[in-house]
Amino acid sequence: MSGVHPYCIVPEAYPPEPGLTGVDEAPVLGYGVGPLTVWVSPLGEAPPLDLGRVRQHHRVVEAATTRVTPVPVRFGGWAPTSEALFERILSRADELEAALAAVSGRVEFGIRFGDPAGSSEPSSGAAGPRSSGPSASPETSSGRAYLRARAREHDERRRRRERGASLVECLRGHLEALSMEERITSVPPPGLVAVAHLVARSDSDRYLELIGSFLRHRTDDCEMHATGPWPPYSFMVP
Amino acid sequence: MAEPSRVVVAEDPTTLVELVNRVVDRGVLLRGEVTISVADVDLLYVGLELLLCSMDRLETGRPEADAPRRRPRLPSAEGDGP
Repeated sequence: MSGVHPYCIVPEAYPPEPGLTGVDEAPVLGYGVGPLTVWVSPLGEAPPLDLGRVRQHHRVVEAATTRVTPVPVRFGGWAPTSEALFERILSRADELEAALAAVSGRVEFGIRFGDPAGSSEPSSGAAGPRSSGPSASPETSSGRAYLRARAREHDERRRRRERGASLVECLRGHLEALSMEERITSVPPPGLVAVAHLVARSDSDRYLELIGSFLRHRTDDCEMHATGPWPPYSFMVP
Repeated sequence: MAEPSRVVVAEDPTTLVELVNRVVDRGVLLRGEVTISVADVDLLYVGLELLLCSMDRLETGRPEADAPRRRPRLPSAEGDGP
């Protein structure tokens, strides 16, 4: 087979349902590779990235997730030949099997904190002692103004890091009753931090209860968005 | 008659951002905005961290150099079955 677009890797007993289609409406096929099955679509060339194709890709991974927790392959894993893809998978079969065992029966939830004031200019006053108040200075192009602006940016980044870390710590304390994996990612303004949790599917309801409770009892003024359950994209093998 | 161009997109922008951030491979990081339009009407203006694929992660098995903290560390826990 020529080029293939992979979606996910599952245990060998889980081929895709007949009739399932993916990116560009191409059929989704399952190929046994050692002890694993990889779900792919035959595509002659790497599919361009757009939201429609991202959704199509995600729908296939979700279709797999309804039956077994897969190791998702992110959009962009196109290989010029199926043999090349299979060789790569085989060379990492042990690692991928371990990954499948690790995510088995689990789902991912995402929490994203945002700072409503985070998109404002660094000189808005939250930056600390080096803030110089209104910045409509006639010397904006001077070296001093440049250094001040850099100092404000530095302070703002530090403030955002500290705020994000504080929120994550608070959330951790609220969820400590649950056993789960965590991935933390810094995000650009107005976001503060994103957290992904890998939770046992059987704990999903409890997780959502705790998140709801966290939302009700928070005292900070940050925005918080919770999404999920997702396939374990954030916990996949690189 | 209702304006044909006023279409409500019943998709939460946050979910859209989360979807793209999860599904798209990491490679080249693009930070910017995406405007989603229907019938030439801008509906959503979303800040995204778009991470475009520049490498085959299955082949190299290595994360991007600028993302060492995101190297997945899979739990060694037992699976409890699908």
